[in-house]
Amino acid sequence: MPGLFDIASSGIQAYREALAVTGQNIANINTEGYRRRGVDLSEISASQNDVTTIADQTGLGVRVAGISRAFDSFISGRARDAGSDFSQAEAFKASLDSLESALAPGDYDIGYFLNGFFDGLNGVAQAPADLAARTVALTQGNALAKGFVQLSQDLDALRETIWQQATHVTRDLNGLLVTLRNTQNQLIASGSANGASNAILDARDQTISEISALVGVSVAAAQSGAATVTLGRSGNGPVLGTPTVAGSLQLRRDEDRLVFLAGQAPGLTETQQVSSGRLAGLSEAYRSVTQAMGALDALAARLANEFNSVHGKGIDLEGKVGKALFSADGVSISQSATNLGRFTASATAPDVLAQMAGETRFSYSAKDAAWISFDGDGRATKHPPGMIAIGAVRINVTGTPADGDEFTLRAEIGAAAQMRFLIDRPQAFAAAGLLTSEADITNTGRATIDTAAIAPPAMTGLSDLTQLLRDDLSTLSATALRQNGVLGVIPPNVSAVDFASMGRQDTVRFALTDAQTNNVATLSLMLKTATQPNGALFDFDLRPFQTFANDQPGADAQDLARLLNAGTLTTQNGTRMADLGLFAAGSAGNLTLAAASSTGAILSGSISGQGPSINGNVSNGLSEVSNLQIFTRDGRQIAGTPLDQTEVVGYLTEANGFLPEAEYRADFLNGNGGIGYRGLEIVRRTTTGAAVLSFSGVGIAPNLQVGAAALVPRNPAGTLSLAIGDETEAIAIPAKYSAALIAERINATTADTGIRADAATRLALSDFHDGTVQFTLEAQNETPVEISANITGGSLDNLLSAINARSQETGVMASLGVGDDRLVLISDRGDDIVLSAITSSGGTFRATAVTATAALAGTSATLAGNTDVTTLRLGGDVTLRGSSPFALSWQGENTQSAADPFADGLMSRNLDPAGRWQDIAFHLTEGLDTSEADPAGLAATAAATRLSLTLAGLNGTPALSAEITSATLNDIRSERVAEAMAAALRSQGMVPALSGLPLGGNRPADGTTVQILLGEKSYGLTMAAGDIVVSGPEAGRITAFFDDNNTLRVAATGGTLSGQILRLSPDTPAADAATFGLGVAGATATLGGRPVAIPSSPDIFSLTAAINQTDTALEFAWDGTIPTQINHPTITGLRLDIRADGTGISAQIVMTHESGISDFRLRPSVDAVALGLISANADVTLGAMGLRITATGSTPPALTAQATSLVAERLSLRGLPDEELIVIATGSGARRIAASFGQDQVSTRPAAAFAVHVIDAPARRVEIIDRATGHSLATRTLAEDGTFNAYGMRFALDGPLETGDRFYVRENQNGTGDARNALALFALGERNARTGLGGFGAEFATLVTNTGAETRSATIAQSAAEARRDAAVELEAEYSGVNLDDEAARLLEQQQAYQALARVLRTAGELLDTLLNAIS
Amino acid sequence: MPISTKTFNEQAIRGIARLTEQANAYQEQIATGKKDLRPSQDPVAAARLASVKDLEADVGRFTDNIGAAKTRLGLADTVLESVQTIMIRANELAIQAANGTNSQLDRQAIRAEIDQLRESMIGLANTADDRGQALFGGFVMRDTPFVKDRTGAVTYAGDSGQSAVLAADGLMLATGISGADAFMRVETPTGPVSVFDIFASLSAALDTADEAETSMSLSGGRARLEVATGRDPQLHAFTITGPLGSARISAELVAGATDALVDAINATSQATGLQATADTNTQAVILTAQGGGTISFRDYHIAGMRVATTPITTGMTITPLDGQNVASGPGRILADADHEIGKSIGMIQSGIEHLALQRARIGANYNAADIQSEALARKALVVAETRAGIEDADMAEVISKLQSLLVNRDAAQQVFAKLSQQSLFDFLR
Repeated sequence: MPGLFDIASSGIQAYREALAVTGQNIANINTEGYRRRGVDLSEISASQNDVTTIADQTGLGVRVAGISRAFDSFISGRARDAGSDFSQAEAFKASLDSLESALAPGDYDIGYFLNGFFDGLNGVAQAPADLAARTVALTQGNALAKGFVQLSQDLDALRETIWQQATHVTRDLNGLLVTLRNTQNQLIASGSANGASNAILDARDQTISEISALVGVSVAAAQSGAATVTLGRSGNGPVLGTPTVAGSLQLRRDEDRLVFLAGQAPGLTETQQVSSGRLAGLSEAYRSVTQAMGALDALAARLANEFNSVHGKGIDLEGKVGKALFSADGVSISQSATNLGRFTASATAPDVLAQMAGETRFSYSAKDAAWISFDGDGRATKHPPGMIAIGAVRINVTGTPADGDEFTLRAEIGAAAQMRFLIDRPQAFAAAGLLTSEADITNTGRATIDTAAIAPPAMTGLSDLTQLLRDDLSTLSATALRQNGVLGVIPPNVSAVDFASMGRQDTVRFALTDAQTNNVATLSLMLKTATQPNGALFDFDLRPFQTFANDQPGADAQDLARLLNAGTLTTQNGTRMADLGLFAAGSAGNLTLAAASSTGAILSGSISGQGPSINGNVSNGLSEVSNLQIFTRDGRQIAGTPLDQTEVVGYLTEANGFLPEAEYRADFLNGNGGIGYRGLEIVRRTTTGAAVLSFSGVGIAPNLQVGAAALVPRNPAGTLSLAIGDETEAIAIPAKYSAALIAERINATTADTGIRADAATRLALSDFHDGTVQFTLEAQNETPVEISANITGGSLDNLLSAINARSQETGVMASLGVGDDRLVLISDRGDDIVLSAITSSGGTFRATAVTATAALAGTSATLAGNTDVTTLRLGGDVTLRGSSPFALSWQGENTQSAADPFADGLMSRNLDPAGRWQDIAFHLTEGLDTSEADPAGLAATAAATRLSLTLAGLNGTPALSAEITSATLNDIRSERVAEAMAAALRSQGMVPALSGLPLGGNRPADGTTVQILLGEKSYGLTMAAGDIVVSGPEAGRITAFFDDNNTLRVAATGGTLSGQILRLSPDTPAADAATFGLGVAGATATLGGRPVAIPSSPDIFSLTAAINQTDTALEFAWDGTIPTQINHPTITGLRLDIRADGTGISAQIVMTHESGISDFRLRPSVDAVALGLISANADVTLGAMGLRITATGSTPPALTAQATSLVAERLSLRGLPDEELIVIATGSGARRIAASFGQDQVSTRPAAAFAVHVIDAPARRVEIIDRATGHSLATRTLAEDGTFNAYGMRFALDGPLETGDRFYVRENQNGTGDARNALALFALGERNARTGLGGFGAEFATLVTNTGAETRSATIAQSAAEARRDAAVELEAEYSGVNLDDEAARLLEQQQAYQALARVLRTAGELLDTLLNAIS
Repeated sequence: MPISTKTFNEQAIRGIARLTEQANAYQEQIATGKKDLRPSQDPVAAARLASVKDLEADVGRFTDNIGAAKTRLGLADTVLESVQTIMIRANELAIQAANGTNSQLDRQAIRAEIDQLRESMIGLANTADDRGQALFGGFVMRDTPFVKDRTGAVTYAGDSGQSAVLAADGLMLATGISGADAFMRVETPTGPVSVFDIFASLSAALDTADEAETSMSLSGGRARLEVATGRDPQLHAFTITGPLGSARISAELVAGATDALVDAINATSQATGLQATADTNTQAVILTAQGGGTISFRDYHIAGMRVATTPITTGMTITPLDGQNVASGPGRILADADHEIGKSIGMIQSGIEHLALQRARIGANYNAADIQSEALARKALVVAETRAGIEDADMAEVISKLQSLLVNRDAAQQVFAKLSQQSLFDFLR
């Protein structure tokens, strides 16, 4: 039974503890995370009841059952979540505030800088030539670029701050997670749930609450008091904390966002559960800032692009096209954090990085001592250290990198941080427009012109020739087209093209099995020959091939073809394939033979061997060749032969790709006048050459008149008619027009014939005598100029320089003619050359009209002989040239043009104006003029080009001609062809030789030299190692050796046409010559003739020779029998040696030293030819590019040429304009076309300079002229509003027009005051609704406003979250917090209980006392 | 249940801090006089403000542009006025020179002044504006647009570009006229001529008045015509009068060839009674009147010639002949009708009219600039008002708001002080 005492004492103890709890509550009133404690009291009751005893019901007192914590998981969960939300909103808002103030820092935002720049542009527009205004704009442009960079850096810094914050927060969080685990551990350790220490629970809750401020979590409490904390609100997120586990959260940045990884290290996985708390706020802010940066980059890139594009359409103060204005491109380099070496890398990049790979990683390899770069696809490239070049980027690496060190080069394209203003000089602002247009000041009409670039017309859609034809200029690659007409177009990007149009050769094709190939015996060919038009049989013995095939396993028809071509396999009598003009191609299974002669040369062919003979498949050739015609879409013919009216109507249609306005013109056909359409280089070569015709003003003959007084021009008025095909062009020529004016009239009216007229006046003055020659000269000049010169010793140099000194005025150039005894005066404009008041103190001189080759034409006149002839007037010649034959009718005479193979042919000729020489170049092409074999053996081309030159004979001697065929040439370059041609010509002439005095045993010492002259060319004979080495301009031309008697033998074994002996050069010292046995008695010079038939009963041979430069008649008499030697009757030592055999004789002119002849040149004559002593009035030498024919007498050589080829037409065009060109094939030819193309990627924009000529004002027709070349490019009729389109431009003519008015459109070179482009740049200030360009300020303002709106909503969200958090916190505080009033009340209550209990105790004591007193 | 004291205190402190923050915002508005127009505060007003600022910048630029345009136009007008004055003086001189009583010496004196006037006109035409840009060069502003070549002829090195400034969105205002318009294309009956050529023509006409005539009349019935012309065909036309009447002769001539002239004269023999033959030796034309009589020439016009030149390079020398075709008097030069001083007077008057027209064009542009600048001034006012309306703070409102806020804050502070002082513990004594 308990005592009162016990009850009281238990009460006192309990209340003391309760008081302590209250005290604890008060003490912890401000402790974070402290939850109010309450004391749970419980009665101590008797507990010893049993069946027999009923326990006392009074109870035993009170005790503290436990100290409870005011905690409700729901309430505190809500508070925690609200806190999380608030932290998130707070963090987000704070960052957005920063973002807003970065974007709009008061008045000085990007908008401010933009406005400033546009102010600057306006200033430039106002005064475009004012450098001050430009400088201001320049400064403002720089400020704008810097503004972008600054803002970009600010934003980057802000983002970096956010990143830093997030990293710190994550670190704190991970710390808290560890704390949480430790706390929970303690909880578990401290026992069961009820037994857990309140303080630890508080600590745990506090930790969780701190965690939730950083990142939103869910908490699941277990029975044990331990809690499982998971990330996110869902409760299903990654576990962050249990009593045993501390989870971890990690952070990474991606392109534009923060990435969270959660779980237990190292098994972290990406999570999306970070949806509230400070981290979520920071993450959101990070994304917002990144978005703002992206928008800023986009704005910067757009700004740079649009400004650059507009600026590029303008012209700066120095006349150059505007460069890029802004660049938002750049490169950055970042070094790896793990680098061990010490080095720095810096990069420079071009202004605009259009196409650079995003990222390139560089790694240093110490082994190679090189940096290895890895591009996006992982391809490795090695770079030596120092300067590294990646595309246009240059990286400079200095310092000492360690092995494995890395850095990354990143292209930042369109980045605000890279924004730069690229112009550094005020002049570079392209304020002026690209084109200017103006009316000619002398226009009679008042119309004005305006021009703007527009889109060019749509493409033709015709087939692209670069696709249709194989890009190979070869006979085997030629494409046979199905039909005539439009073949296709040359696309605009092609800058060079070569075409060849050719016929087809006869071919015979055999299909052979391997067995058949190895057993071939005979190839039988029935060929048509000149002598046997019905066919001659040629049997080629192929049996040697069987032996070859046995020795060489795997030999096939390719080897057979090779052996046939090489001439190893021949017919019984040794005829080779090449002799017949055949060429073979073969491969396993096929053998094809082609015949060079294109007209039915092969009639049939068969191969016999084992088994039945195999008949070849003969395909007939075609010699006719299609003509290629090239046009612009405006109907201007660029190349080909002129079209007649029917063809024009037929071809120039829209279906053929021509523009509706197209009009046919041929005035610059084939580069007429030296320059092709819009300046392109054009070469058209045909085998026959161009059609050429010359005439003079009074008819076909030259127009020379002499008289005593003033001579008036003779040319009568008349109509000149030109007939080309079916069409005739009549041209009226007024009286007394000079050749120059006639040519001008013809050119003005032959625009659609392609015929070009050139005029020139050529006068030869000769046979002068020493003395003073005087005359007045008039040609281009209207006031005659006086010419006076002394002629001394026959030298015309004074007269030459006197005439040329006045060339500027007269337009007459003089040059010294053949033989240096004449002057050739040329007016290449074709003005009449008038000589008047002619006097000559020494005697008469002669005047003759000459041709272009300086050959005398027409009769000559004697001048200054008497007073009747003091005046001379020579009218010029007009030369017409066209690509197709034409006829001329003029002054009652009809003439046909003649094809000149030197004019646009396979040979070209360059003439000395005075006729001293003619240079011939040869234009053969590999693939076109050479034999070609198809590797598959299915096709072959036999080289079929033949070139011949004929030198007209003089004094009745026959002409000398030589022919070469391309089949015999290994090398077809012009100089090699010239060598072959020279050899062929020379071999017909005599062989000059020298022989010396026999030297006995004494050859000249090494190093001794003599110079031998062959014509004008000098050859050196030098002793070296006891033998002679020949040096000279042409290797192999001279042979020299010592014979058995040690006699020097020198000869030009190839022969010479000049008829001149080999002679000692006057430069050689006589002593040196003597050591060779030359120039001494016993030395002889010979001219060896060619074998000829025995002359029929001759008696006297009259020869002429220039002996020591003086023409001397030589006679050799012969009395019927053939003598072996005829000595010249008067000149000792000169003789004619004759060697006779059964059929003929060989003659040789011999002159010994005694004859005193140091130079001897045999002139051509009939008698010399009869003796086989053949010479011409020309010498043949090799020049740099080809053959040179030099005149050796006073008559210029007359040379004609002929050519044949499979490829009849060749066209080469270079520098094609950037437009489509239409190609048409005409004629009835084989339509076989080969082509090669050159694509030019770098487009060189031709400077646009056009003129618009009003050609018919009432009809409102205008013509567009290319001002650089004067070519008419297009013809247009004005629309109602005065506009027309051409060449990618719209022209507008406004106002009344007059015929003849001219307008000019050109690139603005000097438009310093033109502000059109500055205005176009300025217009970018406002957004253009149509184009979508411009309006950068508005776009930036939108960006700022968007950010502002976001900030505003973040502010509101924050307030809301704050209210919610306050409410939750309040609720929690109500439940768990300490309220002083409550505690005071509790304190009072507990104190009272305590006092009462004390009273009870005292009562109990008194009771005991009473009891004790009662006892005592 | 009462909330915890700690929370109570915290909430009270936060509340007071918020009030202070608001008060600060008001205070700032009062200090700057502007509203807080950050986009986060008032996105609509911020956007409007941005566009008003743009408008304001535009108005400023346009006003500036118009000022520049007016300067240039004013300057151009002044220059043209001076040129006009010079032309008027030249007109007086020309009229004076046309008087037949003048001696060659008198004419040379007048010519000297004309040449001087021409020089000063070139100087005026090359005037530059206040920024050193040529006024009359079209788009060519950095060089002197009017250049004298070796022969003394003035060529225009500028172009016909029309310089202009932006005076409003899409409205271009011309800031001058090109030199080609101003000086190079004076419309005359014979085609456009430059003012400099008019002066040069007058000067040449004065210089050649002694040696050449523009109309000629000779008796004796025979004359020799010697034509001086160039190598390129040139059309010569004149009116010839013979015993039977007049005819207009027109022939395309080249140096040394008179056939066309002979043919043309003979083609009109019926009308004139004149017969022409070519002298085969001298290329001259012998003119014979039927039965003798007077032959006269006038209105000589050579194609391509618009003004007089000195010395005379193309023209006709006309010599009277006797019966034996021997010269009976000195040859005289018949010059292009441009050599008549009266022709120059006509051209000068055309020039004066032309300049008046050009000044009118400038004046019209100036007026347009004036009108536009007034419009802009009004616009500027409206824009400024709009801007003020958007961004200026309403002081009365802000101050009263601040006042009430401060009152609120004080009350809150006092209440908190009071409340936090009192707790049950106060009673535990």
